[in-house]
Amino acid sequence: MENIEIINLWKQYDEKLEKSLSLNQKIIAELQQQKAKNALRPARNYKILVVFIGIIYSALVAYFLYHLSPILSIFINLSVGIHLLIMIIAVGMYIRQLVLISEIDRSESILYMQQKMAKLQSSTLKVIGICFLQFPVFATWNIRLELIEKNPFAFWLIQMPVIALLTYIGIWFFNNINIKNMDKRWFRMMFYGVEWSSIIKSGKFLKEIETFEKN
Amino acid sequence: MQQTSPDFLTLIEANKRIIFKICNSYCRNMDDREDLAQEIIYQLWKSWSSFKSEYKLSTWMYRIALNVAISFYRKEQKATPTVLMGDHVIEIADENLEEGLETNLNALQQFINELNPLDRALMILYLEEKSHKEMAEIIGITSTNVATKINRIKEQLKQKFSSR
Repeated sequence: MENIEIINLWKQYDEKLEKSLSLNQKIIAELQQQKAKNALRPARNYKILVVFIGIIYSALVAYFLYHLSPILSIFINLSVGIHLLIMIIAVGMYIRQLVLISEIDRSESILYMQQKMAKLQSSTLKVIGICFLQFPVFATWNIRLELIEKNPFAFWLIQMPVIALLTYIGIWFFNNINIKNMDKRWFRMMFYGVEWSSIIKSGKFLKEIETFEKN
Repeated sequence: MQQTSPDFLTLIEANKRIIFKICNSYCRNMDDREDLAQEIIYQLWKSWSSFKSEYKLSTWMYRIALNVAISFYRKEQKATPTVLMGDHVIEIADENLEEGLETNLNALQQFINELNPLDRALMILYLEEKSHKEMAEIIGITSTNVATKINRIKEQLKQKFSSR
């Protein structure tokens, strides 16, 4: 079949549809009302919930840190402070995602808009990467100066290597949790499950867009 | 009840066939097609007030409809439950097509459905006889790139039909 015949085939189909399709105006009117009420989609609702919980949690931690810091050791203060800072950054990133979602314009060109959406979805991985940076605080909050003085070997030979290892793991995950590594075994094991599938799909689609642009 | 703007209804009326064809090309089952049709119409309605005459109306319409269709296609789960009803937003009368026409159309539709979502958009625009310039504006690539891709798809299409 020649190209012109295929175009004609499509035209015939179009003519047939012209005769057989009709709009259900009542549904269009109902749809507009119903959808307006459902403007907040599940993904956005989930992000709003996370932001809400994140703000409450951060506020509580900040409150206790502010009131209890004079009686707590410097190591607890520092550890909780780092944890709080990372939580605030993560919540801020989620808020930024919400703003970007609300700014999505579907009348942009297909490649631009799809790329933006896929990047936005995969940016959740960045938040997870940042959260890993707080790994070392799990080994620093319980350091006590008296214990270092009393038993320096235990501190330098056990606690410090643990802190160094957790710091290394945290930085490694921060650097490596990104969509470029989605085909690696550790990544697939870590992000296995339905809740991650949309992020993995976004990554795959970003690759498809890249190939489409190049070829 | 909120009134539907007559202008908006005219737009949907004029483009119901293309909405129907896009839904057919991006969804395999009837329920999904209905959800997608409703989603496209809703997104068109949402953007209707902000339409700028910077682009042709058809460019704007295709961008929204195809963007919604591609996003819908990529989603794992179904869209938010839409208006519940047994009726469809775009109704089709049960008219039979000639046997030859139907067979060829099914083969063409199958070919379209096998393409990746971006090539699928390009194929629909090609069949709708959009100019390379307009296709480039809708997709967001250069006209030269459009021409190369279209030639490649046409070649595949030719092979598909000649092997039948």
